[in-house]
Amino acid sequence: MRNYIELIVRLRWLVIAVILGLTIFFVKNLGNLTVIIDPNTIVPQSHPFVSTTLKIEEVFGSRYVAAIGVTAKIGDVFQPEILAKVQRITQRLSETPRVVQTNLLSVAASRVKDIKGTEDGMQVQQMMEEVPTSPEGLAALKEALLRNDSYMNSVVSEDFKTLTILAEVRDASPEDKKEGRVGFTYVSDRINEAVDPERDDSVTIEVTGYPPFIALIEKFAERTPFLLMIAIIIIGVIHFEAFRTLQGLILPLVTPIIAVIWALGFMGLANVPLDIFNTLTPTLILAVGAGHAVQLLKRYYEEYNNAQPNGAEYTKTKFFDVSRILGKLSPIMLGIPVLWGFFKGFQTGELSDGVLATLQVGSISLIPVWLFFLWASIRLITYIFKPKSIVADDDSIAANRQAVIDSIVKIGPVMLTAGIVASCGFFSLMVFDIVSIRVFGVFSGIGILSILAVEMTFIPALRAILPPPSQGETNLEKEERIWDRITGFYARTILGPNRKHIFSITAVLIIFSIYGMSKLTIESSLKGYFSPDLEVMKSDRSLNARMAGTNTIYLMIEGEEQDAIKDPAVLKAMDKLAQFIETEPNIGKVMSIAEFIKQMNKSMNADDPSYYRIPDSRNTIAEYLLIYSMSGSPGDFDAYVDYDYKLANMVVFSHSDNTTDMLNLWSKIQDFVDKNFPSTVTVNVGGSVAQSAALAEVIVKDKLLNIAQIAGVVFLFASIIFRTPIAGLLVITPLLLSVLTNMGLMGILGLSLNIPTALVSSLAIGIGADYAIYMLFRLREELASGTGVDEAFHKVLRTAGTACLFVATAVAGGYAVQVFSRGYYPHTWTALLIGTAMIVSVTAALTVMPSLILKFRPKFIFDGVKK
Amino acid sequence: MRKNAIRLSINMLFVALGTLVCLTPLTSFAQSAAEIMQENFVVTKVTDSESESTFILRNKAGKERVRKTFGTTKLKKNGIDNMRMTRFIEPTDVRGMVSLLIEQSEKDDDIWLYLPSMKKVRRLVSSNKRDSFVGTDFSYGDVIGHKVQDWEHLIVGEELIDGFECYVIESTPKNKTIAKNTGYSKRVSWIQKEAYVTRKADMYNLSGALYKQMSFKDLQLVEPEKNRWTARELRATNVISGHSTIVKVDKLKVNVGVKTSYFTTRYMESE
Repeated sequence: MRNYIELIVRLRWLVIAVILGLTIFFVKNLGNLTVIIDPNTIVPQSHPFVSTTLKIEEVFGSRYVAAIGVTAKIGDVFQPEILAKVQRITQRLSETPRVVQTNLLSVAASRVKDIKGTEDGMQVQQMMEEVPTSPEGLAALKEALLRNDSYMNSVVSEDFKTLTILAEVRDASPEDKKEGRVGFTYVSDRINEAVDPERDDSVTIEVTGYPPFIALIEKFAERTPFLLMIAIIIIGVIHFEAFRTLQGLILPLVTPIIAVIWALGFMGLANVPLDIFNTLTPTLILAVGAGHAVQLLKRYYEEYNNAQPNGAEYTKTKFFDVSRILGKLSPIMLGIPVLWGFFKGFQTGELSDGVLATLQVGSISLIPVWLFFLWASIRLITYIFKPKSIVADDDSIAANRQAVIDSIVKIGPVMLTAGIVASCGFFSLMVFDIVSIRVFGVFSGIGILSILAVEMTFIPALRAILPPPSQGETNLEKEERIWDRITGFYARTILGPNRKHIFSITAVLIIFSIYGMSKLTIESSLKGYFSPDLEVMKSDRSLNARMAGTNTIYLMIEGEEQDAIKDPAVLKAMDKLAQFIETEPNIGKVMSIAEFIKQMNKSMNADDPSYYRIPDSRNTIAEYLLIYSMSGSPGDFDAYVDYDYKLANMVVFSHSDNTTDMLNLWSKIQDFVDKNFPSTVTVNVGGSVAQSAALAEVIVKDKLLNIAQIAGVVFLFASIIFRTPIAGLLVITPLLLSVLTNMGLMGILGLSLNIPTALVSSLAIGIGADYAIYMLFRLREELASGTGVDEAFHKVLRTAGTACLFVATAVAGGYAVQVFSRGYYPHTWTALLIGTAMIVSVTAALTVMPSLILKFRPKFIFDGVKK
Repeated sequence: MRKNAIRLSINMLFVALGTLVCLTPLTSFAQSAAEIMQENFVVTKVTDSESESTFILRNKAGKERVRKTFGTTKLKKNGIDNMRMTRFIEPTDVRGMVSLLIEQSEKDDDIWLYLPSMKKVRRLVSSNKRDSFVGTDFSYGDVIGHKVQDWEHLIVGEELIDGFECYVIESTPKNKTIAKNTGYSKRVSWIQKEAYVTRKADMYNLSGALYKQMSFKDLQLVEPEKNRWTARELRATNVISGHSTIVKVDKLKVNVGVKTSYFTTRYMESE
């Protein structure tokens, strides 16, 4: 190790050039990286909900439903101006790309027909071909809507105050992709373009449904890189406050940023696609990378102090030392604009306001920081281009080199061990079925290996080039700060009589967590991601209350052969099923071909209500369908039955988009189907709610498995490295505690395990083990070098422990900003859960684990103690 | 460079004007577009017929619905409207169903239906000329023919279709009502010279987009003395929905003295 690092220091310029060259190479390869946005490609297509959803989209064109409600402010909707508005919106939507024209449902849509009995037969006419202007015409329209039960609560509300337009949106086709018609922001914008010209004082127009909600997610997701940037800045500021040196601010961030670039570039090169569920993975790399970098930096200062001619003695800094003054001022000057930004941002609820405020105040208050940068740069340039003596004497230059070498010799093996253990854990995820989890494994694994590569080459080379820290800097670094006080307190506690309290607190925490976990449910509601104050949420609530429901569930009825749906037994079962579903809570309405057949039967029998039922003869049904096809367009029933009458689609309107509600309903439907449907017919469920349920089920389950697997691999490797399973247990203790408390906290707060929360929880797993490994190695090192037990624990906590605490608080602080991402709860959850994971894992590694060691005195630690 | 471009476009303008001046007297001596369309309007109106046909309706996904029918037609005294009686042979679940359509070019058509499962005749009042003709991609208007005087016609060129010289005639509705009732903002027809039969037609919807494409194959001169033709294969594709229709006339007899009494509800019930 020593020979290796001496070589690095000697070839420092070459090393830096090579690493920068590689980074540029990987940046260029970022272009090759493919990003998967379509969740279909991520979820196993074999999941019955997903395959049904896809089949329904293929056959019936139904997928994501947007609902537009036009409500009269005065009187009912039977006013020519209001009807004309609805007609114009419908017309515009029918020309909107990605809106399925044939499936438009609106009083003005061509497929919405009035089926009416006449003296000698039946009349089928478009519900509203032209906007009626006369009172008689308006009354006739109202009568026609009342006559056709299918359209009550779906195109018109029961109180006749609202008309809805339901537009089904399909996924982008390859042609759409070529034309740039991708994403839901696009669709949502087009829908608004169709709607907005009609907004005025006479009506309230509300737009809701999946497309606007997914568009909102897209909008909020755009904040993610921005929030990551803020997180990086805050992590830097906290590190700066911790070390009070420029190196402390910058270097721990350089490593993970390079590592993320390398990992992404490598994935581009190897054709591994990135998916939306991995947008949080850079967070993990950031936290792990900063963790290693801070350990090394902390050790470097320690070694530098030791290597200096005057040793670790405290030399008083000159009062006017530039670095001292600026170093003291900068954190405050950095803090003020950030706090001001928080305040502003929280006041208006807009993230951008906060950032703007930060920048405004920052441009003035940051002057000392800029001066600090300027001073450091001047110092660096003078140092590189001589005369060196201005900045540093030969002794400190030598001490610097020595410290670089010594710190790597001491920390390098530990870092490699921790990094390799973690990356093995991540690479082991390759056995998973789900693409997203495999990508998570590869991404994190490569990221961590890149961290090791950078920390073992670039950072020591760079540090060898940088001027040695000035006296002011080292003194500042040595000053006791809050972190040192915390670790000091920890050391006193674990060594003193209060150690037992650590165990009892942990026990209470575990009990609370288990209690919380017992309340944890796997549940997802897209609308549950958003603050109820958002405009779309208000629209959704209001329309949802007035109509049959703004969420759709599709039931796909499938017969064995052609014309199966024409079987009266099947249609009667469908009709009974619809009536059964409509009695369920949250369900507003069911639309299916059965309803239309009933309506036709009634009309063909002079509107006699007793004929509002499915006819007993199969041929009569076939005749009705043929008759209808003669009067309507070929595509009128496309949304309800397929071309050879083998498949039917029942559209269920629900007030809830909660997956638990949907799963409950589905299990009841399955029971009903078993009892009432002919055995030749199968019923499956699909649609966006069902798809979310499938996604949540699969992703959450596999994420939990993935957590368990990483824990297992970490345990195994730690056991092998320290040659005892006790070490394995010690290493995974903080990690398990952080996962446990995370889940417990979610349960207690009433959060459910859904895709975002499961993703965040699985990030926690990658971090805790590193702290434990650093602590164990340092402890062994100190004990082996003859330090007494008490002093060794004090020293380990003061050095490695403080470094762990620096990083943990910095990362937790960095993500705490996301609390201010108003309106979008996944960001809040991320802030909360990452914060908890960091704090719990570091506290456990610094208190619980050493307490366990002191209590059980495992041989592998105490073997080296000189008697 | 820029000057040259301007000069070039001015030159081209002169050439274009010159051509127009030369062409104008030529076209005025030949048959006008409207006259061609008038001939075309009546060219398929045979006195009467008996036929067996296969309807193949195909959706975007390529799924098919096949119907076989036996039908008779007879031209009404006005020489424009047909009476059509259609008996379904296939699919078997509608075998024996009969539809009787009395075309009324001036108002909505009535369809009378005989439902064998109920042994009843029922009347179906359907909507308008622009809607689908018995579930095909042809509209009622396409089948009955669009009134020549409602449209402005313009010969826009000449082309070979299936080896026959055709006029390319562009027809635009004279007013909004006509556009609305037919559902078309423009029709382009390829009409065979001298025979006046349509070989191909493109229809544009009210937003101006290509909407339907039709082609007529295997055209036969069935009443030479009156220049009446029948296509044995008719195709229509809705470009927007991807739905298409093929009608194949498997057997055809023309001018066989079909009785008017066939086209009554009593006759429908009798079989």
